[in-house]
Amino acid sequence: MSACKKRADSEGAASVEQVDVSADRAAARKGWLVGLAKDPAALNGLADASDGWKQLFIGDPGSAFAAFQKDGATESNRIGQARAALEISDALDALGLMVVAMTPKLLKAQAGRPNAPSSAVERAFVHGRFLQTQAGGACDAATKKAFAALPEGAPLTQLAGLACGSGEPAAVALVAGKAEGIEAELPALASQHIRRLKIRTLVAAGKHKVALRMLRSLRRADADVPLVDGGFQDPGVAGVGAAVYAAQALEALNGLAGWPQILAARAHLRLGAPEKALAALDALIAAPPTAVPFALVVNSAAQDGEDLLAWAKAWRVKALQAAGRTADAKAAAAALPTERITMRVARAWAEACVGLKPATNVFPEDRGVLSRAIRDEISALGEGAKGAADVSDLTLVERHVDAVQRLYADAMAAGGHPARAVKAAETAQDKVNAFAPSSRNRLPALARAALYSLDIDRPRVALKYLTRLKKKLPEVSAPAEMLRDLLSQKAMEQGGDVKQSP
Amino acid sequence: MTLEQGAVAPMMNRLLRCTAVLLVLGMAVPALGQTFRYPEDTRPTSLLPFFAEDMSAVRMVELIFDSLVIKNKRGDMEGALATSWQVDPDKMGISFALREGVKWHDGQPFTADDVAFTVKAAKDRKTVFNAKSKYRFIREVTVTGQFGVHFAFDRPLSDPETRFLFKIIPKHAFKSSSIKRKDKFNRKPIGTGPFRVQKYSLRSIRLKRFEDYWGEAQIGSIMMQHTPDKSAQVNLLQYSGGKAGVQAVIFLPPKNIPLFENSDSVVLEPYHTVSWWYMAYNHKNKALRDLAVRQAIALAINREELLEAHLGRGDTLSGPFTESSPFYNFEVEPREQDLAKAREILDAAGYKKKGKVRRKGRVKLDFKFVMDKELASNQALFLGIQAQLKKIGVIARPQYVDHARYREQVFSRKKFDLTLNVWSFEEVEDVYPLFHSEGVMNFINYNNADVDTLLDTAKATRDYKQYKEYMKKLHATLNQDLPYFFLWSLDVYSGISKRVRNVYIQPYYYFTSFKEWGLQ
Repeated sequence: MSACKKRADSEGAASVEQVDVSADRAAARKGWLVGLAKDPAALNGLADASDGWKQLFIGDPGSAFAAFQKDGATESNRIGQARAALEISDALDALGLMVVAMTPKLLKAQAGRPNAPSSAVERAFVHGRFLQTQAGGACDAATKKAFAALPEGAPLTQLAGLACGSGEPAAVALVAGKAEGIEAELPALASQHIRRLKIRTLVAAGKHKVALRMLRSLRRADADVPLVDGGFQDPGVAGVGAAVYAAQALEALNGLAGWPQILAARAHLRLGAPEKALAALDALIAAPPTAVPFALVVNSAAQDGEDLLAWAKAWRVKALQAAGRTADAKAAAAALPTERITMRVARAWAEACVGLKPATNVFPEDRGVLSRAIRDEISALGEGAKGAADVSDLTLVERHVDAVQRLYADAMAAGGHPARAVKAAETAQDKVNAFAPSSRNRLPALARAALYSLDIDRPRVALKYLTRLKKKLPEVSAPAEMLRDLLSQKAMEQGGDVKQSP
Repeated sequence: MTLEQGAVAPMMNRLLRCTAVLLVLGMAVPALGQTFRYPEDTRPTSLLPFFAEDMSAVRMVELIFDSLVIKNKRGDMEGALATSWQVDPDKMGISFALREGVKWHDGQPFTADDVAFTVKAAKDRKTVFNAKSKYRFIREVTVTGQFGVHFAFDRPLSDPETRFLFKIIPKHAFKSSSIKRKDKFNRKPIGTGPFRVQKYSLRSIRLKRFEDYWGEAQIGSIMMQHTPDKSAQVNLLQYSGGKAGVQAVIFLPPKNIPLFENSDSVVLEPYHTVSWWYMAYNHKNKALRDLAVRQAIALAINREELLEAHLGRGDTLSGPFTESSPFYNFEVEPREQDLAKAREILDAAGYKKKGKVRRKGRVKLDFKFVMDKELASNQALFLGIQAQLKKIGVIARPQYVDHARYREQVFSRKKFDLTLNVWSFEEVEDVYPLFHSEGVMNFINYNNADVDTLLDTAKATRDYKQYKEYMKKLHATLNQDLPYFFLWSLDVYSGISKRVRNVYIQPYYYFTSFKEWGLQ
C-alpha cells in the first residue's frame, strides 16, 4: 500500500476558506437589506422624494446631483445630493492621481522626442510641479532645483516662483489655492491653466457655484501647459475637480448633524481640512444617533449603524494621520472593531492609511460567502417577504457586496497590495457591462480600477476603462490622452506580436 | 459559532470512500484534485516557442518554458532564468546573471550557452517564423561565463529588460541553429518551466509537474483537452466538481456570462487580451480586388445582429484598432448595415443580378468561404453572414476545415476567397505584418502603396506623437480600403472553478503565475 503523497494541493491538506459570517448574518437580520425585503416602503419613499435617487441607482451621479438640486431640501435629498457629489469627487480624484502618476513617464517620453529641446522649459516646469506634489505642496529642495532650470522672465518661470512663494502675495495665494488669491492676476499662461488655478481659490473662498460653473466650462482635453502638439497637465492642479465636488457635498450637508457628518468628514479630508473632519467625526462618534437615515445606508457598504460607526472611526484614523497625529492614528486603528467582514475591511483600510501593511484576508476570496450569508437571511423571511423580489431585481445584495469589496480594493491599494486591489476591483463589477458604467459599475469604482491597473503597469486596461467612461465622465480626456501617448511610445519602440485565435 | 465549510464535508466523504475501496483492492491511492483540466478551442500550433503562432500555443508554452525575466503581478520585472541584470551605462547593452542549478526537463543543466543559442536560432535566416522582428534589437549576444550573458543592442534602449520575455530553448536539443517547423521538438518540447509534457495526443496534452523545477508548482498535473465546441466547454465548466469537468474555460462567450455571474461554483476572471474578429478578403480574387465589391459586402453585414445572436456583447470596429487602442481614430465611424446602398454600389459598378448571383462579365460574386472548424460559433456566424450576403446577390459557399489544415490552406497556400478569424495582439497592435505588402502575415495578398508608405514611415519615425498620427491615419485608410472587414472586439472573461485558489491571469500570456495556483 503506498502512502498518499503529501503535497500542498492534495485533498484535505489545503483547507477550504473558512470565514466566520455569524456576525454578518446577525447584522443582516437587522440591516437595511433584510429590512427592505420585509417592506420596500423606504425604497419607494426615496424614489418618490426625488428623481435623483433613480439616477443615483442607475449610476448617473451627474444627473442625480442636478435632480437633487431641483427637488427640494429634505434631509434624504440632501444626503443623496452629497453622495452624488462625492461619487463624482471620488472619480475625479482617481483621474487626478492618474495624471500625477503618469507625469514622470510622460516627461521622459517627451524628452526622448526629436524636438525635445523645444519643450525644455515646459518640461522643467511640469517636473518641478510634480516634485512639489510629492512634497505635499511644499517647495522643497528638489522642486527648487527643477525650477532652477527655467529661463528668466518666462511666464512659466514666474509661475514657478509664485508656486514657491515668491512674488505678489495675492498671486502667491492664488497659485497655492488660498482664498486670499481670489482677485489676483497671473502671468500670461494658457487660459485653461489659469482657470484651473482659479477654481481652487474659488473653492477655498466658498464660491462653490462659481467654481462649479468654471469647472464645467473647461475644455477637458486641453493642456494646462501646451506644446506645439499636445502638452502637459499641471500636476499641481490635477485634483481640482475633485475638490469642487467635495465642496458641493459640504454645501448639501450644511446644517445636517448626526450620521451625515461621515460624508462631511470625507469632503473635508478631500479639501485638505483634517481638523474639520476630526471635529465632525469626534462629535458623531461621541454620540452616534440611534436612528440611521436610510438615505445614507442604502446601496452602501454599511448594513446598519454599527457598520457606519466602524467606518466613521476608520475615517477618523485617516483624519488623524492627515493632521500629523500619527501616534494617535495608529492607536485608533488598533482599536477598530473586527467582528464583521465590513469592519475588518474598514480596519485594513485604516491601517493602510497610517502606513501599516494590512492583512489581506479581511475579505473572503470568494465573495459569495458574504452575499450568500445575506441572501440566506432574506430567504429565511419566507414567502411573506414583500420586498424580497425588489431586493433581488435590483441586485441590491450584490451591490452591497460590491461596495464592501471595493473598499477592500482601496485598502489593498493603499496597503501595498496592488495586484489584490486590481483583482478585487475587477471582481466587484457587473461583467455583462464589462469595464463600463452601469448601475452596478459606479463611476468612481471604474476610475479607481483604471488607477489600480495603471499601478501594476497595465496601461492598456486603464485606457479601456477611461474610453468607456468618456460619455459619463468627460474629464477622462486628459489622462486618456496621456495613456495614448505612453502606449504609442511603447509600441513605436518595441513593436508587438500577433497571433491567431482569441 | 458556525463556520462556513463550503464543499469540504461532501468532498472528504468521497475521498474517504474512494480511499477505502482502493485500499481494499490493494491499489495505490491517487491524490485526488491534483489535475487541472481546461479545454482549448484549437490544438496548439507548436510547442516550440518560435512557432507558437496561436494563443493556445502561447498559453501552453508559458507552462513549459521560462524566459530570462517575467512581469510579476505588481507589474515589475522579476528574474526567472536570470537572477539580476545590469544595463550598460550607454544603454547599448545589458548583462544578465543567470540562475544556477536550473535543469532542463531531460535533466541537462541550463547554462548561458542556451540563452545565446536561443537568440542565434531566432536570428538564423533559416529559422522562419512570424515574430522574428522581436529579436531585431539584439545586435550581438556574448557568453561571459557559464551563467553570464551580455546582449548588445542596435540602438540605445530604455528599460531593455522588458524585451526579454522570450522563451529560452535548449541548445543540446537541436542539431543547429536553423530550426525547421517540422522539428520533433514541436511535440516533444524540453523546457525549464514548472511543467513538462507527459503525453501529447490528438485530443489532449497532459503536462506533469517537473520535480526538479527551480521553483515550486502547487498543482500536480495539467490536462489540456481539445474541445472545439464552446457549448461543450461551458457544460464541462458547469459540472467542474465532477470527474469529467474542467476547472477553467479560457474564453467564455459574452452570452454565457450571465450564467456564471452569481455562480456558487465558478468565478469570472477577466483575461486581458487585445483581439479582434475580422472577415478577410483575398485580394487575389478579381472580384474582391474591386473596392466596390468589398464595400458592398461590408454594408450587407449586420454585425450587431450577428453578435447578439451568437456571441453576446461586443464593440463593432471601424479599423484595425479597438477603442481602447492609442491609435483608434474616433473620427472614423463604424459602418452600419445598409442593404440598399450595398445594392446601389454593386449596380453602379456593373454587377448585375442574374438569377441569385450578381455578375460582371465573367466575374461572379460567388465566393469560397473557408472556415476554421474550431473557431467558436463559426458555423452559426457563417450562416448569418451567408444569409445577409444573399440579400445583395452575393453567394458564399462554406468550406469547413480543421485547424491545422486551415492554417495551411489559408495562411500558407492562400486558397480561399473569404474567411473569418480572430487576431490577438500583445499590449499594442502591430499591424505591419498584416497589411504591409511584404508583411509576413499578409495572407490576403493585399498591396496598397499608400498603406505601405504609411507603415514604412511610421516604422522609421522616432517620434511617438508622429507614430500615433500615422497609425490613426492608417485606421482611416484601412476603414476605407477594406483589406478586411473589421468585425468586432469582445471582452474576454475566463470561467474558473472556485476550487482553484490563488488565481492570477496574466494579460495575454495567461499562465505566467500558474505555479502559484492551487486546487482543492
